[in-house]
Amino acid sequence: MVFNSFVFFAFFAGVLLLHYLPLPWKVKKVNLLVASYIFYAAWNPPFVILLIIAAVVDFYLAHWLVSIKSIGARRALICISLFLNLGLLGFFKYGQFLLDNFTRILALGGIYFRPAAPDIVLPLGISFYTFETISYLVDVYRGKIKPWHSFLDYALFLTFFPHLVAGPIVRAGDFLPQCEEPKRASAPQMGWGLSLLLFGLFEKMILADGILAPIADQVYNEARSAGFWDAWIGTLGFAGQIFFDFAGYSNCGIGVALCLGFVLKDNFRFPYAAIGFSDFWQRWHISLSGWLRDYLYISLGGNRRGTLRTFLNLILTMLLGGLWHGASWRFVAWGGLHGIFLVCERVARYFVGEWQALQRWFFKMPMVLTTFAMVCVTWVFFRAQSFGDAFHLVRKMFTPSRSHNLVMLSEGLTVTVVIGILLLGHWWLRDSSIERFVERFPWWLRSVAIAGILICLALAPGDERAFIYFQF
Amino acid sequence: VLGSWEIFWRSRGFVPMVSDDARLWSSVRTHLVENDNQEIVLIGASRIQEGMDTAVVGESFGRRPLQLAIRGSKCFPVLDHLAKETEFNGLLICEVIPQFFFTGVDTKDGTQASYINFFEKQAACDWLESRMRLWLQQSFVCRVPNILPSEETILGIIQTRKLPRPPFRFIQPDRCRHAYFANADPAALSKQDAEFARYANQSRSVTEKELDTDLELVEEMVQRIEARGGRVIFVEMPVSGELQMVEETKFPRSVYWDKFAARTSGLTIRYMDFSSLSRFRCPDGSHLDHQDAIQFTKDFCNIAKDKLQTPLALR
Repeated sequence: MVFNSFVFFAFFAGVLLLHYLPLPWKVKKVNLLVASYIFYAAWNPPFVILLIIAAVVDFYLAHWLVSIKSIGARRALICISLFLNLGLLGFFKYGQFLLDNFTRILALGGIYFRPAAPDIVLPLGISFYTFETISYLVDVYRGKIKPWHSFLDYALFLTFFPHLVAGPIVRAGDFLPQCEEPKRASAPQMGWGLSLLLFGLFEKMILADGILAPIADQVYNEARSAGFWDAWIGTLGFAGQIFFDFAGYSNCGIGVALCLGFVLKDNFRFPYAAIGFSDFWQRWHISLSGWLRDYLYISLGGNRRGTLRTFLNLILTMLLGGLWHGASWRFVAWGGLHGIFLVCERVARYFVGEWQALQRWFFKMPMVLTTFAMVCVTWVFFRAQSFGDAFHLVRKMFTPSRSHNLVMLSEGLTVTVVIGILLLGHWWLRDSSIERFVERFPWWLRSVAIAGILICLALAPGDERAFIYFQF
Repeated sequence: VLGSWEIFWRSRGFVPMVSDDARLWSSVRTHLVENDNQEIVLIGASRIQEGMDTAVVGESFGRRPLQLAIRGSKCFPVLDHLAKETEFNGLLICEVIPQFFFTGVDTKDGTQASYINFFEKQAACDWLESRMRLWLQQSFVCRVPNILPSEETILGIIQTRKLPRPPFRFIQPDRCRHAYFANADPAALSKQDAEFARYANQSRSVTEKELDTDLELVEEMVQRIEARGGRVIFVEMPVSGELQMVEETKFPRSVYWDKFAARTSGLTIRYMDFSSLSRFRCPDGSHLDHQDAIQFTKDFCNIAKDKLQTPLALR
């Protein structure tokens, strides 16, 4: 079930109704758990079993983990649990990819092996809930949190429908304590939750799908014919599309959770106003970058083992972060580029230091634009259908000319205006939040804005497109 | 605001209409082999979607057909999809549009492939979503495609300085399209005829060898269906005006149709070969008016039924 569907609205109305009936808190939690399973089963019912198995196994493993005194045995157990969780993820998500690469390696050695296509269906959201359950187990192993006493709460944490399919990647330490006390959204919370849901839908359906996706698709579907302007307009269009698509989904999820009285942390903080890649990753998909930092980068040694090892850890973390997005070398290349840029940034900082002049806006702004342009270059590898297409587009982006074969002037102007407004908005609000921004306006203006969004949604033309992060 | 918008367009003669998209196609496709595997299926592009009346076919054959034609697209992805649907062994009526049919076979690309992809990736709850959307589309005028504020609509208003006219084509929930050309702008119709002719004229030509390979591929698909006991009828729908001239010049019968008819094991019906089918005129060059479509379908069904009596071995 997706947020931008009528079925979801009927489902959500039913869930809200049940949640606000005068029932015991435990019954309400059971309702939410069952609703979450229904939400997931609405896509492919048999995969609910996988979700239940993940919850049962990891809940009891965590309890077993603290009951063992021997460090060696604890290590062995955490390794087994990681193997189980990552093994499932690997099988479903990377099975075909591994097989393809294996046959290519054999072919290089002159052995031509053609295995039957495994035809594996990727369970929706598996990358997200696997990372959530791993974070819980590792936190218990590290002693940061105690194993949770209630299976119901744990199953709800893993399955809670607002974050189940495409994040944000919620931490047990943030969510489970919220299950202790009965949750009920206050009137302002309910209002803000519904506003976020509508705003997220507006980002997804109008800005991402309605305006930017058709232009980006046009360029990337015929990448080899693209000229200089096509490459830039298509890539800027995709940069906007992926932001509005994913931030839209996150806003919907956070809004829906808030309507039920649960608080999920922000997943985006005006990322296109980032100064440098380090700043970018503190603003883009914050729940994933935080996860990669805490459970991968730090586990690899972080910055505690010398400069070279730090650089290596950074690149390795970003390569694996790229691979998390999908079973393709293009995602690995995308992650690798981010890793290289992060390393370059560290080197630059070492030489430049904390120069006060850099804090002035006339220095900041060009740095924001440079970071954004470099992020756009990395998006090419994320979106292109092949390395050949990606290299062609990047080459065109750095070969200024007047050529444009795919994009019309009106489309170019549309993308420029939308991305211009997006960048200005991010720049203006970079140290603020949407909530604080909206609070500045009187109630009637906010109401007019919400009405405007509702009208746009009701009259939105365009095709149905899945959320981009569903495929991950 | 939405209420006023709805009333405004209704007052201008608009009525609710369903959207002919991948979701509607998938909901029709779902009925294939739902009850039994003897369905009648129509595939091709807009000519068969507008020219073949599903109700008339239903009366004639005693079973309403599934309309799986998709406008402006080559029929091969759906033909291949149905050939691979091992449970289907009913009657397949496939439209032949020369500029689509004789210009290369590709079963993996294009609009039809994207519709099949949508159908195959549908979620378990999509049947409910489709029903809800259908109900909304059938209830509210503000979801009629040509008044939705798309780039096309806005540019159209700016260029013509006129608000959109009510559509003269109506999509039925079973995907049959009814065209009422009396309500259309005559100037726009002749412009459309020229546009169709220009498109047909610009379509790529294939070499004799390529054509042979393509016809072999089509025959493989036909034989897969016939091997299961299914039947296939290929039909060329009527065209008129400039488009007819271009099609006859660019795709001469002796080079294309006759060769195809000789090679395929399916039945073939070309409108020009039957006086009852060739008497119709397409106001826009490519599509029949709904009233003509009813008569055309009756005549077509009579011919098809006669042809179907012929045992496979005697053809």
